[in-house]
Order: sequence, then structure tokens, then C-alpha cells
Amino acid sequence: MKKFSSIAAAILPLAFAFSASAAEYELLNVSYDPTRELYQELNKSFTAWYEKKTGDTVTISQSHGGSGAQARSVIDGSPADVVTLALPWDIENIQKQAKLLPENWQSLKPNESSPFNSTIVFLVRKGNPQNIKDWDDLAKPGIKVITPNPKTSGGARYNYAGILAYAKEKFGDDQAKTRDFVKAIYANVPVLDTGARGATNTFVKRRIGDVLIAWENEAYLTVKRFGADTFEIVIPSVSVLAKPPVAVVEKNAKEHGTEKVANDYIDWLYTDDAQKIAAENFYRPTSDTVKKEYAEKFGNIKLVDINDLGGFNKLQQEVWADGGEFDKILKEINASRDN
Amino acid sequence: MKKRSSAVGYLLILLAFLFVAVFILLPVATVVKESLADGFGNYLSYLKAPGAKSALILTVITAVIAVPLNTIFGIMLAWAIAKYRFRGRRLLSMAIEIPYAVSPVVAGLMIVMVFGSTGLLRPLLDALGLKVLFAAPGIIFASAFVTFPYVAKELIPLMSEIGNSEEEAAVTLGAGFFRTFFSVTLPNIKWGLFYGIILTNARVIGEFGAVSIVSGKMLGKTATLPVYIELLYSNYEYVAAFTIASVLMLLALVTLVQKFYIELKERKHLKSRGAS
Amino acid sequence: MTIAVEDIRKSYGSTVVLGGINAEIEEGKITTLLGPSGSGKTTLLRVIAGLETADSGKILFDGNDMTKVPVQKRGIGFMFQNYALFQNMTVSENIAFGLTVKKGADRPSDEQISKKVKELLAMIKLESLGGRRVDQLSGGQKQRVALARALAVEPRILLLDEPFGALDAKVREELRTYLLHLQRKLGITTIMVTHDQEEALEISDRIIILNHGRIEQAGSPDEVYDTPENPFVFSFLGHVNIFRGRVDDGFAVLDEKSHDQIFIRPHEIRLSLRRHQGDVPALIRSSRNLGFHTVVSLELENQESSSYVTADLDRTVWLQLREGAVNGTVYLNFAHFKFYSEQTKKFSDYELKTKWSYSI
Repeated sequence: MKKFSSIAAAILPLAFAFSASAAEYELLNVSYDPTRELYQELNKSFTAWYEKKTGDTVTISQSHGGSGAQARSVIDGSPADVVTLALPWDIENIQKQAKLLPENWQSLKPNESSPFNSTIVFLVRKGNPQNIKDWDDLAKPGIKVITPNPKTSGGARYNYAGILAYAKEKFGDDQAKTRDFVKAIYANVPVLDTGARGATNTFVKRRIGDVLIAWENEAYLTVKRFGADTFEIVIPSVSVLAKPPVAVVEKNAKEHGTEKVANDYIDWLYTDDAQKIAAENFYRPTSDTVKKEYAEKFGNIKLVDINDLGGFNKLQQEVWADGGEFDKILKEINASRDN
Repeated sequence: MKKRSSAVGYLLILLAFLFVAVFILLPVATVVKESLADGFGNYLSYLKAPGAKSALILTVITAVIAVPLNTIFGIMLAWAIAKYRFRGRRLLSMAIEIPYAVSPVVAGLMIVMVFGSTGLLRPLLDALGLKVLFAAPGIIFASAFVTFPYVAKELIPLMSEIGNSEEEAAVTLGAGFFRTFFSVTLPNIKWGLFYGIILTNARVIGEFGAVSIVSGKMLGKTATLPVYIELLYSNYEYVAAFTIASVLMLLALVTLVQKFYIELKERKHLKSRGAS
Repeated sequence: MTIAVEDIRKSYGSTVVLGGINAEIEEGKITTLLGPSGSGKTTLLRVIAGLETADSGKILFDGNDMTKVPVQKRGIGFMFQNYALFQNMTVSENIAFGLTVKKGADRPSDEQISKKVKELLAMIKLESLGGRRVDQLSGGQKQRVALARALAVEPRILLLDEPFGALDAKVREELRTYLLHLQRKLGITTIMVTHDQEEALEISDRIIILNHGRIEQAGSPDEVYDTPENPFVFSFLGHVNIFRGRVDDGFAVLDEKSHDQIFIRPHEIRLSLRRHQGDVPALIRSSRNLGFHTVVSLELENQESSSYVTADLDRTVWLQLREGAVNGTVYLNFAHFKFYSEQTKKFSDYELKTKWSYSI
């Protein structure tokens, strides 16, 4: 990481020195939901930097929505130059269904095309009355857990993966114990909302539940909005590493003549300036320097790559798809509830 | 006997007020309260945000184009169905109901299927260099589509009931098509038409489902007010979302007031004419 | 203006509405299209007006083919059964409408229009109601406004579609007379559609009788009443008593088994208190006083099945008969009847042979 970002910082300006006249570019960044402020700041910084370096003006429009729905709209023709979504799965679909990017898209940029990462943490009421410290506290009887449905929410699949990450630590390869653990936690979920916003609403506005499982950056956003005197964040000992990917939509960019700018934009996201902005917006930086700077802010947590848990695609097929493991677990939970 | 019925009457009135209070006043009050949660200063700054301005302009433009379009087409269609007999008339009358009956989300998906990158009309659009989806035309089309039936549905029964004889009288007296329409037909359908236009306008301004699918939700470009509200809400910016929602509410109230005002004027007009 | 109808045909799907109509409408006269509902009379009127188009055939105004001419330019005045006044306009505005529609040089000035409207209001005797909204008028007033409106543009021909149908009897009669006098004064060619034969007989100069899209007979009221050409016309116009029977030595013999028919008008029935040769005894069943005359319903005796006869008598005669009738029985014969042969499809007239006087 360090090597790349420093090299990038060194080479990019040189490359631009050779550009001839001042041009105007427009980029469309199709992103997912909670990134509005993040990209508002990033874009401001990038366009200023870019103009200084090359004399070219870049205007970046943003689109935000559910990650899956956004991918869908790109497939249907939304003229995105770059996509910055929540799940690699979503960009995979754009590749497979609309062939707008090459098959090897994820390897084109560092860290599997993910300049900033996130993870899954807990949001609890101020004072943490239930004394929730780690994932096993969520399985305790009487604890009410709020998390969206992994079948309907892409982000919620990472919540599930977070449980798996802990289970791997605790139970190793014992599938039975892992399954019981997962079941115990979901049995404590009174309401399975369809999306993160619904879940947040349930926890914050309707005041249901003792703990909300959420993406780290969204948890921080919630605290920011609703006051540090109402909620606090609990970072578990281990969690899953979420790597929201970014990519240039090559076909569109080629058509628009923005291929170079788009790539420069994506590359810039790895520079320390960008990484700092991301960190300020509660995303975990991938640049080593910035990581060090914000180490205290993000705390100590063991992050497990989802590939070590079987990989997203495998989990999608076996667990979250219709008729998969999750459906079975839910059925069992409902059955025992009726008794 | 009389006493008992007035008790029932009071009960019904009370229930009606309760209904209005819970389903209308309460949400309205909530929107106002939540939008001011960050203080009035912030309320204004949320309104001044560039995203908000372009959302408002886009919403207004959409209404300014979609509403007259639907009004004209609605009148034409109602005229054809109410005043003529032709093969397929009933089918046409049923087809009008489709946008009405279909969920706006489904309508949005249908439009994407037709105009999207794999859509049926795509080759034609590309050849003409026209952008429909993820641009203002798509939004206008989607808004017009879901509100299409309102004017027509108001006018068809009205025109059928009124019948043709006044129009026939007008033409026997030498009036051409347009003169007949504006002097005879229009005044008779005035109220139904007006009501249809108000419904259309309200729905166009507030349309979310279909528009959110076809617009691409581009902040500052293709986000109408409802889409913008959802965008803010999904980004944990609740207060800002409620602030913009209060704008929508204001637009709705303005429409209501307009309707009220014109009804009042018409009533006065009727009274003065009758006196002479 | 004369109108010629040449072989007009119109069908809706498989239903023939007008099956080859040929007629001449005389200038300055009232011609009535008479017939039962479904006869095509209204359709014919609307085709002449231009409100509907025929499938084939021609309409000529003063020899000019009107087939391609739109209704606006035909110079007609049309009156509808339901008045069709413009609801959103006042009486004056209604009357003025046709004038305000004129274009360019033809359009009279506002002063001229309001003068004309005043004249017309005076003509229909509604001078003070010019500013009134039309929904505040009575039926009779509305129809007069409709008439004024139609006449305001000085049409060459006046077309009336059952104009009095929606009015009550007295108003209907008043308006009918009014229209008659007005037409005589103005001399405007008028075509009226009605199903009311009394009305037709009263005001028409010429009657065209239609049935199932064909003309049954056309002629003056006297002609069609006194010399109907077929049973349909006979029974449609005025009341008529019809019996199956034959003629025997100049006398009508009622015979259920005959294919031929005997037609007798109510006023051609003679009633007597004394029996004459050939008389039929009849029982008085009921009577209806119509002022100068009385319509009496009688039941014939000597018949296998009961036959009712309607007679129309002078009131004084009736009163005497009623008083003198023994057990309500009087003796009945006909001064005149028509005999219709099924074979020849023709009528023949019969007068009472014997001299017969009213001996009460």
C-alpha cells in the first residue's frame, strides 16, 4: 500500500505535466447509500488537486442508492464512469450482465480494488446497560439484536459474515457449533428489516433492541447524527473485513472520453489526501501512513477476510440464496417460537 | 328517534376529526417538528443546498411539462371514448387503467425494459441520439405515465353523461371544432378537468417509485424532490430529509389552497349570474 | 330552398336504418317526417343536417350537392328535443352564439348582434329574460330560446327533431301553434321529425311517413289520412278500427277467418237507437269527453270473440244516445269504410248504400 500511494503521488503529477490544453470533464460516480458526505468531500479535494496539476476541470456528479439497485441501474444504462459500491458482488454483476468492465476488474486496482475498508461493529445505548462487549453477548438469552435481513440487504450479509468471523475464532471448523451460534443470535432478532436504514430506524427511532449490528462507518454516522450522549459504539474483538470496491466502468468511460480522468480519479482515492478524508468519514484507510495516524481512532480489532470464511460467492450460493442455509435457520427459529 | 340519530351523527363527526388528526395532522406536525430539530438556521441551509435547488427545479420542470401533456392527451382520449363509437373502444378504455392499477415500481421497471440498454426501443433511441433514461426526459415520461389516467378518468364519465347535443347545436350554428371545444365543451367539463389536473399535479410532484428507478438518482441532475429526500434519508441525514419533505408538503398545501380559492370564486360567480 | 333526397342509404352493421330514401322537400313549407321509433326519421333528418353521413346517396340543397359540405356550412337551423342550450351561457349569449361564430367580413358588429338578439327576444316574448341563465327557464321557454338561437343566423332551412317531445301537453300545443304561425310568417323551409301523428296532421303541409327505413307514403295531411296506401299508414294516422271480414252485397261482414281487412275511422261509425238492416248491436262500455265530441268505446255483440269499436261522435248526439239506450245497447253501422284485399294489396272504398238518417 505504502509503496503504491507514494509512487502514485510521485508519478501522477509528472504524467499530467505532459497534457496539452485545459479540458473539461464530467464524471458520473454511481455510489451506494451512506457515502454522500464522503464523496462530497473527496470530490471537492480531487477536483481542486486535479485542476492544479493538469489545468483540466472535472465535475463529478454523484448518484446514491442501495448498492444492488445502483448496480442494476448501471446495467440498465446509467452512464456511470466509475462505480463505487458496497459489495464486489454488485460490480461482478455489472461485469457479467452488461460486460461494461473486464473480467479481471477487481485485480486492476490495489487491495482488490478497495481504497477504503470497513467492518462490522455494534451500536448500543449510551452507558451500554447490557454490557455488550463481543459477539457472544449477542447470543445471550434476553438480549435483543437488530440487524437487517441478509437476503434483502447486501450490507447485512457482512453482518452475517461478522458472526462467522467470530465463530471461526471461537469454534474453529466446527460447523455444528457455528450454526448454533448463528441461530442463537438471529433468534434474538425481534425485527428483520429489509435494509440498513430500516434497521437503524428500528433501533434509533423506535427504540427497539439492545444492540444494532452495523457497518462501522454507518454506526459512526448514526452517533454523529443522534448524539454521542444517546449511543455509543462497541468494537468487538474480531469482525469481518468489508472491502467496498471501486472501478472504472471502462465501456462507458471509453465512450465518454473520460477513461483517463476516471482512472486518475480512482488512483487518487489511494493517495494519502484521499485516505485522510476517508478516515475522517469513518472508513478504514488502506494506506499504511494514514492507517498509523488513525490507529487509535479505529481501535484494536482482528479483521478476517471474507475469503477466509469461504468467500462471498460461496456464502451467497449456500447461505443467503433462496432455500439456502439462512432460510432453514429462520424456519427453525420461527418453528420454535410458535411452540 | 331524532335524538338518537343526532348522537350517531356526532359520533361520526368525531371519528372523522380523529381520522384527520391522526392520518393528516399528526404526520404534518411531525414533518415540521423533525425538520426544525437542528434549529432554524440549519433548516435554511438544508434548503439552500445546491442539491435541494436542482431537485426543486427538476420537480417543477417535470410538473410543468407532464401535467399539461397529460391534460391535453387526457382530454383528447376522453373525447374519443365518450363521443364516438369505434371498434376497440372498450379495450382502449380499459387500457387507460393500466398505469393506474400498476404499482409505480412496476411502471418504472417497464419503462426501463423499453428504454434501457437492452430495451426494445434502444436501437431507435441510439440512432436518434436521444437519452431517455437517467435523464430528465425519462423522469418526465415516467411521471406522465403513472399519472396519465387521472384526467381521462375524470372526464370520460362526465363527457358521456353530458352527451353530444350541445356540441351538435354549436356546429349547426356554424362553429368549427376549436370554437365548439372552447365555448361549449370546456366550460361544461370545467370542474372535472380541474380536479383531474390537481390530482395529476399532486401525483407528479410526489411521484417516487417509478422516477427513482428511471432517474439513476444523480444528485444535482436527476434527483427530483422525492428522490432527493430518500437520498438524504438513506445517508443518515434525517433532518435535512425532513426539511425537504416540508417543502413538498408546502407545495401540496399550495395546490389545496389554489383549489379552494378557485372553487370560492366560481361559487361567487354563479351567485352573481343568477341574480340578474 | 328546396331539398332533394336521392337514394339515401345507411346501415349500422347488419341493421338497415335508411333503405334507399327518395324525397322532395318543398320550399317554404313544413314537411314532417313521421314514423314510429326506429323508422329512421331522425337519422334522415340528421343526414340532411350533416350531423351524420349516409353510406350512399345524395342530399341536394337547391340542386347543389351537399354531400361534401360540413354541417357548419350548410346554413341550417337545428332544434333538438332536449333543447341543447349552452348551459354555461345566458339566454342572450345562446341566441347570439351563431352570430359570434361568423368570421371576418361576415361577422356582424357587437351592436348589430345585440340588436338582433333584442329583436329575437321580443319575437319569442322573453324580452326580460336575456340575462337569465338557461337552467332557470321552463321547458317551453327553453325551446323558444332554442328557436330564437336557430333563427338568429337566418338559416335557409329549419330542422326540428321532435322539438315538443319533452314538454307537457298544454305547452306542447301552445308552442306548436306558435311555430306554425311563425313559419307562415317567415316562409322558411321547415322539416320536422315527430312520432306524434296528431301533431303531424295539424301543422304539416306535407307528411312523409317512414317505417323501418323506407317511405310508406308521402302526401298532404288530407291525402295520407283519407287515402292511405297501405294498412300501416292507415293505422298509424289517427285512430282506426280494424276488423277481419269481407264485403257482401255492399255490406261489410265481419268474419274472423277472412284474410282481408276492413278499416273504419271512429267518426265514420253511425250509432242509432233503432235497428236498421245490416246494423250490429253494440254495448256501450265507456266514453271520453273531449269537449265538442266524445269518443265512445263499444263492444260488439254477435261475435265469437269480443270486438271493441271506438266511435267518435258529436257530443249532443252522444248525450241523446246515452239517455235513450236500453241496457246500454245501441245499433251500429258505418257510413264509410275501406276494404283492404290481401290479394291485390289495395284499398277500395265503400259508402253506405241505404240512405240513413239519424233517427233517435
